[in-house]
Amino acid sequence: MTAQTKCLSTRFRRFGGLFFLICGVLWGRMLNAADKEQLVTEWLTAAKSLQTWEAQVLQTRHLKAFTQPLVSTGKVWFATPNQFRWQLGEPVQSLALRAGSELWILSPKLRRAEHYRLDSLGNGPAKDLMGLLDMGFPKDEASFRKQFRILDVSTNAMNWSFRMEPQSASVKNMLPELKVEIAAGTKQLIATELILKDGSRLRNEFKELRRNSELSTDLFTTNLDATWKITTSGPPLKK
Amino acid sequence: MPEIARSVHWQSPWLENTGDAVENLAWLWLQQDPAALSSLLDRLGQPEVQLESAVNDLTTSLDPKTLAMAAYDPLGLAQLPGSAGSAIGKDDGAGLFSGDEGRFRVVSLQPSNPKMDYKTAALWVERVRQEVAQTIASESLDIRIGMTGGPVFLSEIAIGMERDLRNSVLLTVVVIAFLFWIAHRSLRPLVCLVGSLAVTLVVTIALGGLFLGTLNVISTGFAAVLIGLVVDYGLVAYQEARVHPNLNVNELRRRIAPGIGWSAVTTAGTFSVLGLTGLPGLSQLGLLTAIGLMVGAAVMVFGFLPIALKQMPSEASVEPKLLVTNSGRPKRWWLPTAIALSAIALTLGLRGLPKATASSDPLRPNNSPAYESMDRLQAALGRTNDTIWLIVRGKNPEAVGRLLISTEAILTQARDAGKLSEFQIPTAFWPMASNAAQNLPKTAALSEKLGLIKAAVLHAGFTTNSTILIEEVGKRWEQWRKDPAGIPLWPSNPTAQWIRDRCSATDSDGSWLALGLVTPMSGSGKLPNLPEGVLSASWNRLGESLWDHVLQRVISLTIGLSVVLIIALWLAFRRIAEVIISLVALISAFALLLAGMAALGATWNLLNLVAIPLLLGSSVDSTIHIQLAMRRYGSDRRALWASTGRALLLCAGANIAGFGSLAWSNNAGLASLDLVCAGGVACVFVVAVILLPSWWLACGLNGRSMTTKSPSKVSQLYRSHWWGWGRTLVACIPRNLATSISRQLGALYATLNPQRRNIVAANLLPVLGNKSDMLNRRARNTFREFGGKLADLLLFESGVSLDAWVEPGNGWQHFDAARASGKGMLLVTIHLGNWELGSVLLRRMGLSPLVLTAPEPTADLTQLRLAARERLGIETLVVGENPFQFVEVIKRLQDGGVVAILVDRPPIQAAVPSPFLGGTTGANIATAELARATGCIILPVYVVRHGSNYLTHVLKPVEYERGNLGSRETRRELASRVLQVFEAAVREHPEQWYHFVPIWTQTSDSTQ
Repeated sequence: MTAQTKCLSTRFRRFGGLFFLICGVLWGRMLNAADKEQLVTEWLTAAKSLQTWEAQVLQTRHLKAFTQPLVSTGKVWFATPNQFRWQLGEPVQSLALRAGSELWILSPKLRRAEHYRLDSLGNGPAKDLMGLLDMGFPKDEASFRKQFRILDVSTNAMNWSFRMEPQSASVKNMLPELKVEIAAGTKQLIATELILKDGSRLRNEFKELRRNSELSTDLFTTNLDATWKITTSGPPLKK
Repeated sequence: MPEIARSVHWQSPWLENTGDAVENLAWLWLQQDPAALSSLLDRLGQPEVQLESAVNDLTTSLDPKTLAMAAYDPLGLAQLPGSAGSAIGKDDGAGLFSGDEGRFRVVSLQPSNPKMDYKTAALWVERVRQEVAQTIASESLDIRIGMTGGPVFLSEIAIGMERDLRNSVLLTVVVIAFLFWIAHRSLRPLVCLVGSLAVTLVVTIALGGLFLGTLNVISTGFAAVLIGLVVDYGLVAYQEARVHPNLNVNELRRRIAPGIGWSAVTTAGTFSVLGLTGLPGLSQLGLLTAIGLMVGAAVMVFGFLPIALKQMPSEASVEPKLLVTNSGRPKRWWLPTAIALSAIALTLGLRGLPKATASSDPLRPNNSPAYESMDRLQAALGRTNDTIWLIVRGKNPEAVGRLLISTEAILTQARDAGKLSEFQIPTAFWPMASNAAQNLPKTAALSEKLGLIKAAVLHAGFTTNSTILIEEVGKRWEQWRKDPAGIPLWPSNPTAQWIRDRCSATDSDGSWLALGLVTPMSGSGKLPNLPEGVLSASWNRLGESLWDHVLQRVISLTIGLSVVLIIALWLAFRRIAEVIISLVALISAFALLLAGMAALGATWNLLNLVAIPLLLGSSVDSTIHIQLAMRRYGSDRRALWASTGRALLLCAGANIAGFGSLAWSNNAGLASLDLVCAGGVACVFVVAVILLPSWWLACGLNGRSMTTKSPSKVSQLYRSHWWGWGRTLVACIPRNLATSISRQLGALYATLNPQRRNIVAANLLPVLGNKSDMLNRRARNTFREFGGKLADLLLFESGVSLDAWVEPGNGWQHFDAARASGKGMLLVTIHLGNWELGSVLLRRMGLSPLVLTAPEPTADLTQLRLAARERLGIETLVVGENPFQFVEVIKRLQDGGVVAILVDRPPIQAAVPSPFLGGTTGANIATAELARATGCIILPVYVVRHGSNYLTHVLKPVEYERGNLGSRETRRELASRVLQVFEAAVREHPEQWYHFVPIWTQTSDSTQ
């Protein structure tokens, strides 16, 4: 390969990349409302077949009040219909765990646990806010649309990106916008992003995805000893 | 639009005014326990640990709120201790204004004029409604609007009250007018009647305004009820005027006033007991109706009657003839009763007794958009009628704050134990002035370290945005330290004022109140024991609490009222059978009412339960009227219906109209109360008019006594114990006082005992001739005079000397002549003045007369009086049926002695009919017998009061030929003449002529 050829090849690759990028952008921009709805439907349909899901997560927080991005790693497990486990930090600094209507937010370092019973929170902002933790795993279209409104859908060759806002006014007041990205081919969740009212952003990028593998039920249960300080919202736990 | 609303909120004010948070946070820290502030200041002195924790939270926290807080409050200023911290951390306030997943929004308007009257409020509400409607139309919004809150309730309830008042009154008046027209077919009296009802209503409302100030939603029902009851008085007055067309206004008034007066007093008394139910609305209704009944009685007797009399169509008397028949027990008398009992048993058997509901719903208005909106609001905000409101009261904010702290501890414990779901009390946002006074000086330490703290924050990687909070809080503390007024009781920013207005208030006595709420566990409304000064209330608990309270009161009232009614029935009838019949009639009517309620599916509730004592008190008179009419008309059902039955129909119709007109009342409870009352009146009417006469006849009461029993015997008060106590009492007090009290007691007795008074009036009627208009007054005066006489007589018998007060009057020359003749002297007198005091003068002359007296009503009283006379040196002979007693009398007269005897109202065996004062009464033939036996001088004497003294007058001796007294006819004629010599004296002193039992066996036509 001559230098000229190499240069052409490099140029072609650059222009080709740019061409595909432009095409992708244009294709994305050219999506009409029906197309967007179609993509949403496809995503939601694909999500229906999900039984379990696990992934490594890289969370990056761009906070307006902090000069540097804050990065942490962790892991996420999800099992239908409403079980998930989020943990961040190594060792685990923060852990969110949901099993049915029980939701726990744990700070192992501080031995502090907050317990929520989602069925007794009523139709309030707390319940809406907690509902965002499994925003990437919509159960069905009706409940999804009850919770979110699609603002925009954009696509490229690799990913589909859904910009949404919460339906709940109180949640929207804190989190005006959310974003979900899925792989165009597998329809698997690859990233989520939460945009706070002050412009701060929390981006979760998922890797090492495993779909419908068998998960231990222990993952979704807590085993807190007396050293934990538990605060409860709603009726107390049955002992 | 400032002319409509002073402020409008569509979300919690701290979300609209985020800047207020700084002042509120600074203020809140100062209200905390001083140890808590010291801990904060220590923490700020070495901020590195706190900042590391904040960075960790920012990096890994999964809670968006924690993220937000850590970014702008890395020093943890918002982490207040205890509930203050959790209140700040948890509640974003959005739930106060929105719900139902964003499809429900509360917009709160504060009116420009918060103290609107109901008409202004109605205009304001309408204006807001129009503005909202215009906006919805112009923006083409697909939303539904509901309005609730103070002005909306005020306008809705007040307009409903107005409508109820107007409609019920109009309906009642129309029904009454219809019934009156059907009964009397006379327009002008009808107009007078309606006018009188209007006057009654206006005066009652005026008096109600004077005494009560304001009317509440339930008490407005009084108007129709009152009209339905007061119209009875008008109907009675009108009926009486028709029956007695020859009587003038005063005569008619005398006839009807006592009946109407007592009816008004007893019915007003019954309604007054509603005040004891403990329900303010019913208390007001009861009081207003009671006032109105008294006013109505006066208006009908003094206003309607004279006017109606002038408007009366000229027609013959419509008095039904007394057709007393004595046909005994009617055939198949049991049939109507059997039918009624079967219907009751069948209905109650099939449907059961009416259920009782302890709900608070009867206290709510019917079809109230404001309440519907309130219910929807509560549901959307996650509240229910189970939510319990707490009111914490203390003499100052500090005391309330301490109570809040102890209450919170108890509620927290209860919540953790699963006894309640959740609670909200304003402990976190409550002023604690003593803490603030201690904390404020400590904050000076922050100013010195503020530069170092800010540097530490920036060094940890935060931006300057993260130092704003600590800077502003520090500035605020410094400002308050420098301000001579110090820290304010409440922060002045809109957010704090908004919170303050919703959780605190001051009472008229200056005490402070804090408001909280508790959500109980589902199905359990019970709270743990709270400290004294903490009150709890909830809409559902209100019904349950009131039910127990009202039920207990109703039972007590019903028992008390039953006892009173039994006494009243006894006084009315004096026959146990008739009392029992009345009670059975009332019980049957109640059973009929229960059956009716069961058939219609009606239930007992908080308000209509009160109908039981109300019906008991207001319906008993129907059973009295019917039974008294039965005494007059016996088994003549036609006459019974023509008189009393028709009158009762009119009255019952008017009462049903009065009560029934409120069936469409804006208030569910009032409507049910009045429906039950209307049904109850109808049941009582049916039982009283259809069933009761059968029972009365079946009991064989027909023919026992066809006239109202009148007291033909001497009063029960004329008994030895009363007499003995009276003597003891008058001897202890000055004569003037004793006489005065006794005269007043006499007048009171006359008032309380109209039957006895009527007897006296009937006795006086021949004496006063045609001066019948003065008769009633004279009769009263007789009782009053008798009271005075009695006091002096008791004084005399108790041994007090009355010599100074008894003086000789006219005619003593006759006495001297008789005495000089040496013949026996028979002193005759009548029940005029204080005849017993004549012995005072005789004793003064050295004479010791033998007084002939009839036995007193009881043997011990006879003994008591004999002993007293004996102590005074008066020889007394009780004349019984023993003929040999007269031997001694004759001997005494033959020996020239003095014997005294009463010649009117003799014992029946000594009585001969004698013309006297135009009537015929009994004269004592013993006078003539003694004259025949002894030839004594018959000397009429009488002792009458003159001022405060007594004058003893002597009349000319009664002439007779002893030889002619052989025939009984001549003796009868002499006895009559002896009696008749007192006619002039009686005419001169009619009020001292004391006969309290009927004395006339026949009267002239003019006195009939």
